[in-house]
Amino acid sequence: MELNRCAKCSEEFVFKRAVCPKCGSQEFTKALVTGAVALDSVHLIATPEPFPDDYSVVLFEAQGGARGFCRTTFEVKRGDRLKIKDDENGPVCEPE
Amino acid sequence: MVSIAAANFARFGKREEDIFAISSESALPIVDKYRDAIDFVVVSNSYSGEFNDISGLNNLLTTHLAMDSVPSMRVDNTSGSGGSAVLVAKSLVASGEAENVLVIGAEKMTGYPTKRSTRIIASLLPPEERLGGPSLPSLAAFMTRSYIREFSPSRESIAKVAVKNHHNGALNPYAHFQSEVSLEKVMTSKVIADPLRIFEYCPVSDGAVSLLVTSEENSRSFGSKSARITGAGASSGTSSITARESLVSIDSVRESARKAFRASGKSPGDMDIAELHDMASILEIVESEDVGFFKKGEGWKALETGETSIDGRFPINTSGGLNSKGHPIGASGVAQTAEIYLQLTGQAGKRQVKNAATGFSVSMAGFGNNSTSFVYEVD
Ligand SMILES: [Zn+2]
Repeated sequence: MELNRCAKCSEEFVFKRAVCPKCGSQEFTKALVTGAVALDSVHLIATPEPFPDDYSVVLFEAQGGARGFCRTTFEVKRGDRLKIKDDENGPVCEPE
Repeated sequence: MVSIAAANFARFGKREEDIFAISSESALPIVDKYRDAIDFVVVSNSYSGEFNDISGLNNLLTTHLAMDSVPSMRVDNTSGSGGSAVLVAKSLVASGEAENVLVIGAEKMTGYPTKRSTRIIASLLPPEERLGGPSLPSLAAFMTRSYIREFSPSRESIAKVAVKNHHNGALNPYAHFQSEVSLEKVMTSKVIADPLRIFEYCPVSDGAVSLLVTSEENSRSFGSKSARITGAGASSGTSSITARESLVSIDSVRESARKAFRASGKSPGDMDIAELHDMASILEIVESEDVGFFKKGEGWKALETGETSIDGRFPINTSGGLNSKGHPIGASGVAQTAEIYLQLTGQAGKRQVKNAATGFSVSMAGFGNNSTSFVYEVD
């Protein structure tokens, strides 16, 4: 899973922006998510298309502070370190 | 001062009719009475493209109502469209751009599989966050889990929002749900996004509601029962949910309410009734704190004491809220204003709160991506 990193102040975001909200720079590079830790996880029954019918959404924080969502079919608890990769629909994770 | 001079509902729920029929059902009683005076139409609607394969709904609707030459616009601000539409109408009247504005809030969204409608609603999330599979209901579940960790409310107190609002909805002939639900039934109903259960979420509904927004002077000359909008506030928060510092508070709700109260010269404690955006049970509690009715972390206690029940000291969501009345997206914020108007002018029927003279509403877009608050008063 890729993050957007500000080329000037190194702030990292999941959400791609045209302008860095921290420093105003308009230059970004891509960075891989590393050191992600689960902040919480919600088991979701009514899921949106195009995703499968039953999974948990995990809110994670990466090493550099960027936060995002990934799907999992594993039991993920708050504080678990995560392995994140992409499937055809987006990022999926499992406990390390 | 800008006033609401009329409000009329088309029943919320699963409707067989199309969006034109539902919209005109709500608008015609007002149009029949004020046709010659209405000089602008604002349509609050978010998803006519996605659900109904219709664009330019405002133009089609004015033609449908034989108001072909009346200028109109459609306001789309997702779940907060209604609050934005009322703000636009208020501004049109206050600026002199228009004198008498018909606001129609409408959405026709049933008839699709839940998975499809969940996708359509989730399209308001930042694309990169959306790839991780969240739905709007799942965000409310994250909020609930954070709130429970931080403030240790009883789980039942959160579910009691649904019990209270279904009670109110059963008194409202325009509500989607017309029956009460017990705490036990809420607590044993199907989990949708852990820990929140199906009765704690608003249903997918069709529905429409219309208002006449005008000046106090015009309202007097029409001889209409009217309620003044004495304060309005719009505010925005980041659309990136994962970038928010806290999930137990919504910045845009807090700030829009602060602005509306400041403009009105009133404080939260002066309000007799309020309509909050309870897409999920937890949201009523969190918003009741953010707008200033209760201290942060203590809103849930009002559900235990009954303070916010319809016969309590400070009734919240007398209409049944989104939870029981339903949440036809574009109609919801307009419906909040309509409910406060009906209450303050003594037209709320079985759910009438005695002597209500001040009211508040907050219409929230997305998951708090932005909000519009209003303070209303009658003499
Ligand atoms: Zn930067």
